[in-house]
Amino acid sequence: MTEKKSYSKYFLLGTMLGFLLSTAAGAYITGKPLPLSNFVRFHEYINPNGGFYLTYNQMLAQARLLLADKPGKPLLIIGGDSVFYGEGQSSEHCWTKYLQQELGDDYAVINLALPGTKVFEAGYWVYEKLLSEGQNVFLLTDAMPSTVFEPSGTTPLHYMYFDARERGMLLPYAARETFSRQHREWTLFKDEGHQENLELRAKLNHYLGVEELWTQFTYSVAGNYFHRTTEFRSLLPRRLFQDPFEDRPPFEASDNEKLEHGTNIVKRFMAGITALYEKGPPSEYEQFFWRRLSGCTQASVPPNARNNLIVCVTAINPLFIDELNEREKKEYRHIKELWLENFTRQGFQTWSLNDKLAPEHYVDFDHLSVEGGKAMATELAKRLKEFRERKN
Amino acid sequence: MAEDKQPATLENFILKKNPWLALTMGIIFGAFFHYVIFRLSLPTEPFIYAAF
Repeated sequence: MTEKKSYSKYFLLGTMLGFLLSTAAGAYITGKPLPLSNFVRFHEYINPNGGFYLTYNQMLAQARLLLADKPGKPLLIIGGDSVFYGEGQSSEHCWTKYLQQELGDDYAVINLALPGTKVFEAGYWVYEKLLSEGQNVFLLTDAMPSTVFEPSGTTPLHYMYFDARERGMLLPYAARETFSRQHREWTLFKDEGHQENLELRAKLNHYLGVEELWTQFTYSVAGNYFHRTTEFRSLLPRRLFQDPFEDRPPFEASDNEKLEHGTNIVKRFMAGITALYEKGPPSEYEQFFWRRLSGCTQASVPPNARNNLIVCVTAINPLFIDELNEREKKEYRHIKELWLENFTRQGFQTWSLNDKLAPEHYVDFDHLSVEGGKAMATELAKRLKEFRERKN
Repeated sequence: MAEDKQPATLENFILKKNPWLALTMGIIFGAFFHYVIFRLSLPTEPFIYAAF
């Protein structure tokens, strides 16, 4: 009888080798930007909306790339939500391109806004890291008076906060660290398991480089999971997908169905605030919504990171406000005023944009057309120049 | 003897007859395991941004 020879140990050795090689590749790739050509924004196919969970490092690396490309120029990071992202405008006519044109050599502009992102997320965390390094960096972000945010971020960018924190990219700030534990009544994430999962995910990415490697792989080599946005093309690498957004026409004032739908959103938003009002507190600021907003704002940004940060309060399409009755209009204006004051009271440079945008500048409830984007860019460029002169 | 003549199964071929193939398969499996960790860390429910 011949002796059976087993090579199982080679398989085991190979498994360990394969895992270690992948981890080494992840570590090597960490800090390298996605190989994007002509970056305008992290479009639909390379952001979480398209099932592409870009890492904190990839976003930071994109900003570093511009800093290296334009040495000596102050970096202006555009943060915030879909309004600043430029939904309603194609990549070619994205409003941040006009902002760069208007500002000329005064700033190097980078659009790190993403759909669904809140005022102090994503681009803000990049700003915080670069500021802590002593870079000449500014953040222009937007806060629609209906967004509910939280210091550690919210869906879909919640993971990115833990990714940044795990790697020590954020300034130490106890109020932010302890927020969800100290303010159980305010946090959106009462399930502690949610935070623990994100912390574990951040650790796996930190020590094994799993997201760094496989997001780069998904972008450059091949898609490897199905997503509703890529459908039957899900196996193609994301580098083959272009920014799908097109220039949208201005909102049709005769579209009564959408008008009614949008107006109901405004009414629900206002009712959501005032329905929680309790009798007793001497000041409106003491009511739950405003206390929470103030607490979240306070805990989101360390005091030493507020000087170069500008919060823009964008506006709802005036056509939708026109549909409200006089009492509701008054209430809306009042709530907006309180919203604006919340940021001003906490030392943020706060700009309101509502009187600079007309109904023809909108493509829907809150997003801007190409013309609207241009109008916003012109206005913000003017204010940014004044802001810089004051600082100098 | 008749019982010594093993059929050439895939298992025999990969794990017991060819050390280089076993090593290569192991490397692929290790990389796949790394990928599985990535996939498991992604959200199970997709984020759907509903623009108005």
